[in-house]
Amino acid sequence: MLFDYLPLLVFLVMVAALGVGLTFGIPLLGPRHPSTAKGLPYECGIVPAETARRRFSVTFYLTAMLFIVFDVEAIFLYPWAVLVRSTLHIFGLVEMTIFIALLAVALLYVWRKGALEWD
Amino acid sequence: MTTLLSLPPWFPLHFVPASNLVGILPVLIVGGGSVLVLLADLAVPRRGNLVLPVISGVVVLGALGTAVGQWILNATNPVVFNGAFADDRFALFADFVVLLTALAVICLSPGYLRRRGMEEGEYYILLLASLTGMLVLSGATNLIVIFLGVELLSIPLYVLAGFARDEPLSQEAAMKYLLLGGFASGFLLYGMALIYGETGHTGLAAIHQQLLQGALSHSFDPMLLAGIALLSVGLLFKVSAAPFQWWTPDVYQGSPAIVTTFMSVATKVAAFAVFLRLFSATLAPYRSEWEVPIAVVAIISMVFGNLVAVAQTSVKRVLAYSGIAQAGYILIGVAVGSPDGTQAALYYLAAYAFMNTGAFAVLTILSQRGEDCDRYSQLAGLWRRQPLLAGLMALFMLSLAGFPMTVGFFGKFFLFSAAIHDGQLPLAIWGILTSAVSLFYYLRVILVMFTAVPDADSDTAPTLAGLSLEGTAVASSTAASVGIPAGVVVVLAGVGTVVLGIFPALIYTLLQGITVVHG
Repeated sequence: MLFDYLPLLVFLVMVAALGVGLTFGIPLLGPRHPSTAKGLPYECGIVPAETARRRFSVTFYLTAMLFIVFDVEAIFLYPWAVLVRSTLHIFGLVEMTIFIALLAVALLYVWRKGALEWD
Repeated sequence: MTTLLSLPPWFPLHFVPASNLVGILPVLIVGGGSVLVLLADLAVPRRGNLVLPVISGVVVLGALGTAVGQWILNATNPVVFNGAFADDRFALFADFVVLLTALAVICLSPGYLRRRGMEEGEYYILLLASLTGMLVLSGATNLIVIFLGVELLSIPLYVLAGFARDEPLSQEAAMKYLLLGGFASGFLLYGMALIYGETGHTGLAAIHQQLLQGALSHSFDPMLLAGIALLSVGLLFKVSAAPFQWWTPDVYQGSPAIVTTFMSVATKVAAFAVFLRLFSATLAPYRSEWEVPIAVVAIISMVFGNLVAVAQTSVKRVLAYSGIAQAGYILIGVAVGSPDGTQAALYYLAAYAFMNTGAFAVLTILSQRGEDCDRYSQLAGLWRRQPLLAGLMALFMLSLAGFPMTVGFFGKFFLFSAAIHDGQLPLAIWGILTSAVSLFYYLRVILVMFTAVPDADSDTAPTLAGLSLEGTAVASSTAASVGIPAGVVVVLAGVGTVVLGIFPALIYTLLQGITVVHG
């Protein structure tokens, strides 16, 4: 029975080997030409303006959280959209309607509670 | 059931046979009710109105009525959704207890929330959401559905534990509950993964078949046993059995008293429902393996809970440790494994719901603005101020201790006799010995209420100082804030504690025909 898990063990060894190999192999093998620009923190290509250790509005936190919640839930729409005409039919439509309705209720709640206001 | 609801062919529900939806009707009602309360909260944003508690109460009553209907119409094959959920009488009995507790909590809530200044609509939304999880859990016959139920039950409770937002203790309770609860969920899930890995199934019935084959060939697989052990740890955490109880006192003390009422009773009932289903039905072939560990956990819980409760100075902590000890008693019913043991455990859960809801309800009623009723000094001399409340509290304490003529006595009696019939005499002896210890701290609460006169030195609560002179004034102001629904709940809990203590057959006959289905 335990022998059935051999592929899993091989997989684990490969994962470990890849991680260790990349971590220690790149500094050994790769060419290194350090410069000031390369040492800067990466900010989507823009030259960093100031330190990242400053205070910012707590509203960002709320916005980010709401974004994650609705974004993750919207992901379910993509596989559904692929399958709804071929396999799910009206059953899938009803299920998704219920799902979207619940999302709408959540959005309404967030809206009415003022979480979408910046101040 | 399908004949009851024959749908037109174009109606999309025929993809999900209507009997499935009928089977989970209580879950649908409470879950939908939670959304309804959310919308009502948005429509009626004024604080302190009675719309939300009334809607919540009606929703719970509706679910209760549906569950009663399912009990009466009980189908021959009560398993729905391809064996993922059972609405058998076992689940329905747990549903009754959980729903009645929730109804009591909803009746107590408006007055309590007003006194503590926490009248937020989210309270009722979260309460119903957690209740949905409990109803899912009581009928779950698939590992994934069990996990779904546990999470649905827990996540709203994490928020409710911190509902007194400006009190550090409540914040601490929420944080501890969240972190340790998440940890326990990890154990639960890892155990499920190992069981799935070994048996190749998540349905309890299929797992049972696999285990039967394994038991026949006497090939006990260590990985499967590890899975069962981890699953047990996750569930033992939820029922707060020692040595997985460390969160219980802090969370019970820090949470608002009304949340503790709900958490201590309903969570325990739902978690024990799934525990009983797993161990007395699904894992029965492996009984020789899990019997001793479960019995040991039961004994540790009884000893630890009862001994540590003696040393507490906070009433809520006393009840928390008492809850740990009670979990130990109920675990006797699990360890026994026979139908007798299962019925005794279910009976004890119903008894526990009456006496513990009652005891916490008294604390809820006595909680005033700014803080919960938690110190012994706040109970001191209660007999003079509120004779009825003091009498009922004394009754609940006696029942928790297992005095004759109370429901707690028969609860313990059935459990211990099931253990003795099964040849597990040590369990019964430990139970009786620790019950004797528990008398000490239950009687201390009664003693404080009936004899002690609050003195100004040890007491900082201004309402209690100089009570002997202004006793009547304080009594009238407290009586005014009790409110009719809360008073009715406490009195009914007291009546139930006595009536079921004299006529235990009222519940026990209900339990006679119960067999645990596992899909």
